[in-house]
Amino acid sequence: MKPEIKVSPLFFALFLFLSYGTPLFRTSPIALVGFFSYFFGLLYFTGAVILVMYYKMGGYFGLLLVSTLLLFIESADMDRNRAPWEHYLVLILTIIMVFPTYALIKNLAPIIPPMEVTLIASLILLVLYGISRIIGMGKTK
Amino acid sequence: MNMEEPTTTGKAVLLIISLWVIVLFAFFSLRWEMIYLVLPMVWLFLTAVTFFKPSLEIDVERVIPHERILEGEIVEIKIRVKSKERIPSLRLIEDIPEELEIIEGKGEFLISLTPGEERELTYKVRMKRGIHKWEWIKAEYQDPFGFFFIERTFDVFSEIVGVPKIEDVITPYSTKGTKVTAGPLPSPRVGEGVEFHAIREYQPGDPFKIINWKASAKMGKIMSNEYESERKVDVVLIIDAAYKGREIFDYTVRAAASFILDCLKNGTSFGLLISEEVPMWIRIDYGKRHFFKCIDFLSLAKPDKNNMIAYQVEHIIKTRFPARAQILYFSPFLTEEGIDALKTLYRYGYNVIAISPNPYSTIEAKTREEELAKKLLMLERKALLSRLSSYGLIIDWDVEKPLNSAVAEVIRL
Repeated sequence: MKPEIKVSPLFFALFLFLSYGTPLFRTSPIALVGFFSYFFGLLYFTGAVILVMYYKMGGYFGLLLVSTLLLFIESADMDRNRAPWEHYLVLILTIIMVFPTYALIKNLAPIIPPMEVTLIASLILLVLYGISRIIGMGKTK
Repeated sequence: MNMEEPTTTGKAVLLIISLWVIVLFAFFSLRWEMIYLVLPMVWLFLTAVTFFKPSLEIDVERVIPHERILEGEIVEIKIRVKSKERIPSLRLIEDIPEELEIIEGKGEFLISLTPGEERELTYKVRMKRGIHKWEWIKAEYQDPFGFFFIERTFDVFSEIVGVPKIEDVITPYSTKGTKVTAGPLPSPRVGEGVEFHAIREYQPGDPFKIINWKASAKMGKIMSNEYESERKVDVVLIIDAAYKGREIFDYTVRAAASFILDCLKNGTSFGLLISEEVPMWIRIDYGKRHFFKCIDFLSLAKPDKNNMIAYQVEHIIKTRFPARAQILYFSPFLTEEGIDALKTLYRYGYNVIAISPNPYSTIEAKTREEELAKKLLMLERKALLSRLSSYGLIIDWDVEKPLNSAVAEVIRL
């Protein structure tokens, strides 16, 4: 099967560059499956995020690593579907929005009164549940 | 228009599962402080839900150039789509009849539209004989990330009748018959004749224009020409729609259409019998309107498995055929029924010209064995046609050559 490749190699190269010197780099060849299948690409992505958490590679770097990997998986899927350039632009802009959000959370954290970790966890879970509900409304194709 | 609610794609479900796996891992592995790593995924979903959840408000129409188009011609079909909202990626799927060959473009279009924008999309197909129906246009929308999907089917009905190709042919029979007509086209009013009949002595009251001056000089008395009204033959075209001859049925129909045009030009009246499962009999008439009616029936004719042409012909001879009509019988003579029909026509005393498209002329022999088999079949056919020639004039038509040359060969022009 010959994969449709247009933009995704750029993000893959960026991911390789960023992950170099981290435990994630050794697993990066597996990420190549993202060129062929969204399912396997996402499987690798989930594992990679778990690894990033496990090795505590957080902060802007961790977020950049996860964002680049997600960009690669999504753009490979767009390549396969021969998506117009506008879609890539939307994807990149959306992912860029992650960093101001993180900066906002990070800057707000010292100001807002300290809360119980479990309470924050419950709140986040509630928000995620809400998103899942909105997305899951209606039928699934 | 069939409205449907947006559906969530499998891709979105996968990403949600992945998101929850990561969240649960963070929770159970006591890495909760790193939950912000799911932010990229959350942002993707938020963008899709907020900006791209579709409703698909569009108007779609199809434009066809004509309702009747000659077979073999290339037709440009246009789809006009107007959007009431911004649609970044709209996929339109056209219901192209399967039997039509796409020459240019595709039956699927991927476009993006701004509010109020109107687009015209085109593709080209090669027309085939028969009736071709377009029933719907399907519109599909997926957000840029492919999380939501909406599909709507618009009932847009269009129809084109592919009419058979027509060529000029030589009339292989005499158009003189029993029907009294005046002028090039039969008319119910019989007037003075136009065909020369004889010379006779001038009678008082004869118009001066019919005086034959040469004959008067020779005879020494005034002589007049005598005219008679034109007498035209009724032509009945019979088409053997045997399923066995389906490979060359289009040629059979083209030949019939060409001879119908010839009848129209000659001013003869004509009727048509298409011997399908239920025989289609178009009564004898004349004129352009009748011609187009026959062409319409020929456009829709198709080969049929339950062919009973001999029985149908015999029944219609008894009830509908005029006496001494000229019969044009189109048959590949592949079935006993088809052969019997010719014999029946002969038995009832009709003048028959059988135009027989050669069913083996389209076969291309690839091996020596196939070539030998083709030769044997051709010989068998030649022998059959030779036997049948006692029942009427047989025109053996190699469909790779023009019909006119096959006719000319037989009537020795």
